[in-house]
Amino acid sequence: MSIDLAQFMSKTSVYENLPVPFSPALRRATWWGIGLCGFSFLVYLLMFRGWAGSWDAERVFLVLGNQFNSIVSWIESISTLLVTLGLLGFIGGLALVGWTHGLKQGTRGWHVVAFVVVAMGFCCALPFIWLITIGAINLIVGIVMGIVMLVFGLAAIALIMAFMFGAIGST
Amino acid sequence: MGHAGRSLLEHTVVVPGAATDFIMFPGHSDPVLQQGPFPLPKKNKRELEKVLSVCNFPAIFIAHEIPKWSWRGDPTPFIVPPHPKDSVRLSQALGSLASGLLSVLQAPVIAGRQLAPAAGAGAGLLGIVFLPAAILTLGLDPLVIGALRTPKMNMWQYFVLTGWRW
Repeated sequence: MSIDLAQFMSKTSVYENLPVPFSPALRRATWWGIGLCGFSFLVYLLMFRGWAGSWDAERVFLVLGNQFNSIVSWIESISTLLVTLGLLGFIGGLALVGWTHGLKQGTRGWHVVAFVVVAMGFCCALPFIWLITIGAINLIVGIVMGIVMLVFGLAAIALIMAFMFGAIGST
Repeated sequence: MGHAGRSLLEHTVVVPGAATDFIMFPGHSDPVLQQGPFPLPKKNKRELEKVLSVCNFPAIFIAHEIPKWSWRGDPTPFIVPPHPKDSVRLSQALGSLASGLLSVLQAPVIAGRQLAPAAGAGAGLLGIVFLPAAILTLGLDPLVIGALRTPKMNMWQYFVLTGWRW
């Protein structure tokens, strides 16, 4: 015999709250967010609590050394916040992965939590990206200047040798 | 509708239609209910709670719209409700926005892609504003039907209590 309405109602759930699969973009971004949070946590904890503060970029970098030092100082001033943010994002992300069985599916709230983890990873990594950008600019400037100096050096050597052989030949 | 004697709907019944068929299950043997709690939209849940506050129907039947003749095989794939569209859209929009954020981070690292942050963030914002209208699965038409037996006439009366399109 069929169940009655009261029994049926006790076996129902709200359709709108059903778990749905994470969209591929959100799943991929969440893994990145967790990775960025963990990476940032380690970098800020190890780097800015140690040698980075005493390192003078102006002596090493060709350009933007002062700006690099300013960013490092600013990061040092908020390093506690960034370390905490990275740790919370990493732990929260791992909890999210565990709860959703590897980011397979979850209710709307878990999708929002996944985005928050990505945002936390973004906030943690952004200052570090500025430092990498300045480092990359210096690397490019250094390579360009090295090539220019090499070309000028070779040209100078060629001129000197031509002058010397010319002088020897003339005698 | 109504009929005399035992309930007509103690077994699965197929009601053929012009373009689609309806398959009706007694509540206890509904494939969706057997997999877990039966998902009801909030509006329909409220309607049924109101009905329940007035009368507890002793028998419940659930009718599902299925493609023509699909009941000859296993109709379960056509009966399982699709994922909630709003949640799917939210996931896609958040995914677009998150990808936009990450492309901002990648932009300084990947040379020659200076336009990526703007494009990524733009795509994320577009995802929020113009939510994609992709519907993953075909919508179905479940109906919840209640049956009442009239003792005097020994007849079953059937009432459509609620219905919706996924």
